[in-house]
Amino acid sequence: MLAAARQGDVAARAELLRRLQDTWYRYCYSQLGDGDNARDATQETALRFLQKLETFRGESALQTWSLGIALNVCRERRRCQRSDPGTLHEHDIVPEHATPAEDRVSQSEDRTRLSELMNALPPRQREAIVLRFFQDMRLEQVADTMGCAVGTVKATINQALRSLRKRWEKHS
Amino acid sequence: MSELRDNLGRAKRAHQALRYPGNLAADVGQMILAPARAMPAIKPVRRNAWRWVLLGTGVAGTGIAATLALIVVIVVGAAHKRSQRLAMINSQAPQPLPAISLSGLPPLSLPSASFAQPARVSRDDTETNLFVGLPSLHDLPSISPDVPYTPISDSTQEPSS
Repeated sequence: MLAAARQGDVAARAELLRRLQDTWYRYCYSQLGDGDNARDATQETALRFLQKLETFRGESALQTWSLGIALNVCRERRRCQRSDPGTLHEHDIVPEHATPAEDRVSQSEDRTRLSELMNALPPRQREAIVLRFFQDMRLEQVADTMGCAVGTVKATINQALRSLRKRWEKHS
Repeated sequence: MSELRDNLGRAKRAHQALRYPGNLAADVGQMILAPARAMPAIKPVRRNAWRWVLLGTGVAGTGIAATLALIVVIVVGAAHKRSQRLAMINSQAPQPLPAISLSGLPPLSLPSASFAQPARVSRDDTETNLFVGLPSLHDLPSISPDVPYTPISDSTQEPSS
């Protein structure tokens, strides 16, 4: 399918987008914190993905490679918005429609706290946390996506977790 | 800590439950999906960079040719204007007189006495102008050691009227 998509087969390209659209949307949503903005970013990611598909050499998984595109799109959007990492709201990390109704009330306070802590993280640490824990990527994949060394990713994630833990205990 | 981990796990589940609202392929459009029709202007540019080189060379050549033509027009125009000005100045200058041949004129004969003899002036005039009444050099006696000196008589100084 990938070969057909690279050769311009419309059906294959549409199928690729269908498989990757949720992954991109999740990542954009976690980084931009706004449904409309995330949707626009996802569409922009799709356009760039189709444009660059011919340059994909297969050195990494297609999903990892495409998430790198989404990461760049989100970084550019954040830079354009001039609002540091894009304010995440509680419903951005745990959207209302994704949680069972009975859990919503009890989890509301914790969600607020978690969203505040995530907002306080530097953009790089937030990217690493989302890719590693929310997207379930391996460290090598995170490093590929972020364009840095595995050691850098480890250090970044450790810093982020330490910061989250410290602030969580402080709030508790 | 476990509380944080629980919340992170819950956030992860919620994160993974997110779905793109709609059909991305339909949103980006069929035009984008078909590469040949999607970017008709961009793809040929990337693949055929030499066309842009040729186009740039052509544009640059045309520009240089136009500049040279402009310079030639300006120089020729200036030279033409200058020649016109010179021609105008020459037309206003005094024309040389036609050459006159002396052969056609009658021979000029003047009485030599009128040149040789001094003008006769009255005494009154000599008083006002002492040098006018001096005798001509032709009237002076020649001075020579062989010839005895003879004083000039008054008759020579006082012309007879």
